[in-house]
Parts: sequence; structure tokens; C-alpha cells
Amino acid sequence: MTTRRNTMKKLLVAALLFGFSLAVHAGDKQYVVG
Amino acid sequence: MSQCNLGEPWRVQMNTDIKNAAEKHPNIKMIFKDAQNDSLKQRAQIEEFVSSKVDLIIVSPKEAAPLTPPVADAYKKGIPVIVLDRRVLGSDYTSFIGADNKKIGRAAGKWVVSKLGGKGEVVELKGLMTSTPGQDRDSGFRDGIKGSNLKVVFDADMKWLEPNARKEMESALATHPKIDLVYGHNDPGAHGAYLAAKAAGREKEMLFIGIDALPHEGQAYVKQGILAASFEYPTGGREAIDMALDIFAGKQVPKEVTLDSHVFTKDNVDSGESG
Repeated sequence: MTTRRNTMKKLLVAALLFGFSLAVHAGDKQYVVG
Repeated sequence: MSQCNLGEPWRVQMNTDIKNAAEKHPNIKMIFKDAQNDSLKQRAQIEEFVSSKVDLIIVSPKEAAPLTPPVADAYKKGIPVIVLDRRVLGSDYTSFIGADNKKIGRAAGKWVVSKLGGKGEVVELKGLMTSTPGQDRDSGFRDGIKGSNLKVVFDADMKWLEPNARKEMESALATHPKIDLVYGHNDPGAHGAYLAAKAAGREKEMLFIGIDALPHEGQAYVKQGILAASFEYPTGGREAIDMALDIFAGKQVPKEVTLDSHVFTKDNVDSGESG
């Protein structure tokens, strides 16, 4: 039971980190200056 | 970025300043184009930028009238346009960034009054007098020396070119046994005058000053003791990128930015901090 809970926690943290990384990346828009 | 002409070192420096500033921001991709002193080519370049849907245009126009319609068209289509150094007509652009030639000429005049103790004989080698920078560097200088006992004993239009300046200076040397200072509207002009005076064995009798203060030109001449002073004519390249970032961040930017100028002399040129 404890192992499953730990795994869930790890998955949740990983998902949060992935979401944060996506958000940061989305804010880093590329601009072309001609 | 559409540059009107890369045949002038000052304009090469402008592109370098833009490139260096842009490289600090990985989210900016620069596209540089050289119009090779051809207004039609520069029009086409701006139209191409618009059709390729760039996010912002930086242009240093060759001439105001022919470049006004494509700049206005880009602006009306929602592409911000930063105009550098030379103006376009009307107000259909986002911002103009440039230096004030008259102010720089006036600063040069005041510096000469101070350096020569308010009196002396001056040779003025002018830039192209059909161009506004040439006219403003002349009128500003005349304002700066007003009220002093400085006299411009010889002036000539050297059209921004060092060989012309050298030739005109040969005439000045032949007709004026006493010259205290040569004011060149650009550093190559002042350097050409120095070479003529050196060839005549008279370079130590007078001081030479110029405008632009590019690192490998005017500033180098000051370091070498050839010029007594060089007045910076800033390119605005770094400021254009700073402004582009503000525009991308949704900030309001001023319609006009007048760049500050600094003077380089032997006292500050080595430290890299101008006065």
C-alpha cells in the first residue's frame, strides 16, 4: 500500500514538473526580426 | 533588418551592434539585408519582410520619400517598425531612434572654444552639404562657437570621404599659414586632413577633431594621438533590440528616442568610458 502511494506521489511530482516545463517553454516564444 | 548601405564603416558598426545585442536573446532570430544604397531594393526588402510575416522590422532608410510607403504599409498591417538614424515621412511607424547631429555639432563647437581658450583659426571639412547630417553638424558647430573669437577661416564640402578631405586640406594649408584646429564632420575627414598636414610637415601645429568615434576608427585615432577628440555618433543598434524586446513584451514605447553622445579624448579613450 505504502509503495503504491509513493509511486503515485512520484508520478504526481513528475507530471507537475512536466507541466511546469511546458509552461516555461510556451512563454519562450521565438521572434523573427527582419 | 534592412540596412541602406553597408559600404560605410558606421553602418557596419550599426549592424554589429544589433547582432551583438540580439545574440544575447536566444528567442530573437535576426534577418539582415543590405540595400546597397538602392532605395528600390530597400523597398523590396521591406515588402519581402511583410510577406514573410516577420514579427518586427528594423530599417535604416536610404531616403525618406521612397521608403515611407512600404514602412507605412508594414505598420498598418500590424508589424511594428523601428526606424533607425534616418527618418521616413509622416508618422506611420512605431518608433524612430537616432542621434541629434546639431547637438553633437554644438558640443564639438563648445569643446573647441574651451580647448583653444576662446580664440583661434579653424578649418571645417564638411560632410555632404545636401544631406541633413552635414547641414546640422555645420550649424550646430557654428552655434557652439558663437560669441567666441574663433574664426572658421576655410571650409569645404568633402562629402564624408577621406580622400576629398585630404585634397581640401591641401588647399587650406596652401592658403593659410596659421591653422589652430581642423573640425571634420566625420573621423575619416579629420584623418584625411591630418594626413595632408603630416605630408606638409605641419601636423603638430594644429589639432584635429572628428565625429562618429567608431572603436576601430575615431577611437583608434584618438588612442594614436592623431585626433584630439572624437564625438560619438551612436548607432542605436543596441537600443533598437532593447525596444524590440519591450514591444514583444507588450510595453508602450516612445515614438522618438534621441540618443546621447559622448566625447572621446586621450583622457578617457583607454578606459573605454567616454566623457
